Amino acid sequence: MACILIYSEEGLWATLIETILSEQGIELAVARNPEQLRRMTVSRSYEVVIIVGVGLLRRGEGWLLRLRPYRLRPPEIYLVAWQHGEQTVLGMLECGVDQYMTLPLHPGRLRAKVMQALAE
Amino acid sequence: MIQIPYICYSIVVGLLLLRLLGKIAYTACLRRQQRGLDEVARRVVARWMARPWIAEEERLLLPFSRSSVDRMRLAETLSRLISATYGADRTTLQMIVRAYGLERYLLRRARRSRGLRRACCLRLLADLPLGERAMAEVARYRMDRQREVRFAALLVQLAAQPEQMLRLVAEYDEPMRGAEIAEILHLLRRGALPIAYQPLLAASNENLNRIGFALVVQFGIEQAEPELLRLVARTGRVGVRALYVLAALHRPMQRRVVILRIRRLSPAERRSLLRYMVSQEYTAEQLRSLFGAVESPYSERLVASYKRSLVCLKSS
Repeated sequence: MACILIYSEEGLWATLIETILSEQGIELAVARNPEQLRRMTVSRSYEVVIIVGVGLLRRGEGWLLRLRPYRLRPPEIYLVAWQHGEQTVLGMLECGVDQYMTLPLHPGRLRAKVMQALAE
Repeated sequence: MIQIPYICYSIVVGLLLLRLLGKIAYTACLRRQQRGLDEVARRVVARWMARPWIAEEERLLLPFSRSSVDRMRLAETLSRLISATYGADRTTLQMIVRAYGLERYLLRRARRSRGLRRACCLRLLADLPLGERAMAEVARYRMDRQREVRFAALLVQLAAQPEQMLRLVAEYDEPMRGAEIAEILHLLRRGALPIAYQPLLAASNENLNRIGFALVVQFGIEQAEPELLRLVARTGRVGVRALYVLAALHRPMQRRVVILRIRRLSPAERRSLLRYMVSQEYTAEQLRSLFGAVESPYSERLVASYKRSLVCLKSS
């Protein structure tokens, strides 16, 4: 069964993305803080990790390396954030984020991209 | 005398118990509120996504009463969901707004409040699908004393009549702040304002020009260069802003109209533009050709002062 991890410090966005991606054959896990995220990534592996907001990656704690320790896919790392600036987006992509989706978000588009990633 | 310590002890224990019960009740309220918000999100989004596993009648059955607090929470949640998504079906929203009487409730609250509270109610209204009655009532808030209320009323009108955007923004008397322009751009990103950059740049109104500039920069519309060069020739702040937009798009600045405009700037404006062009990665040669041998060394000192190495990706 494919497993997707959603990280969001705000419950509403986690519920939004959970509802968008809910499907038979897909297991969804939600982390609300870095400590919870650390425990969940240690215990099992995921096909896709969706992070809401750039705050986690800007802490300087090397989260991208922690999520992908051997620099091999999976997991695919998707970032959903409000920042539209070219420097921010390019910076995140260069650091290793696979998809950067700006808010406002199209629910159908997110779902299509995640399903495509799972199908590959 | 023996009873006094006993009485004091009883009072203290009673207060501690009350405090503990209050905390438990508050936590339970917060949990209920969060479950309610999550449920709203789940059902509204489920309808948008046309998920068949939620039955039709359940999609609108939300765990909220018609109390004032619950309706405000519902309006806030819907507003947050709508502002963060686009392309969703508005039929569900219209049903929820009608079922809970959100439009009348928010209009009533706006009528009874003042200042920022009124502006908050109007902003929530701007995100919801509204009827004609709301439009008539909101129009009078365009004359309110508070700027935030006037702008919130503008947002409501823009959301309800996006095709009238040029007229509505032109009627806004004051120069818009950066945050206000960002709000309007947010409506554009959500697809709530179907407008292109050409009529915004061609308008004579400064606010419309500024929205056009922000649109061009945010979407990197290089095709807007001819319109921008035409605006550079205009006097006043519009011409100066057009220069900055050209620099933000990293367009070639060695144009006659641009060089003449830069020469007309004050020394402080020239230096400010020079700093901005350095941040946009124009080369030293390009800056020397625009600002001359006297001013351009400032750009080299500025770059040398950076504490990390910069890589210039674009050459002339």
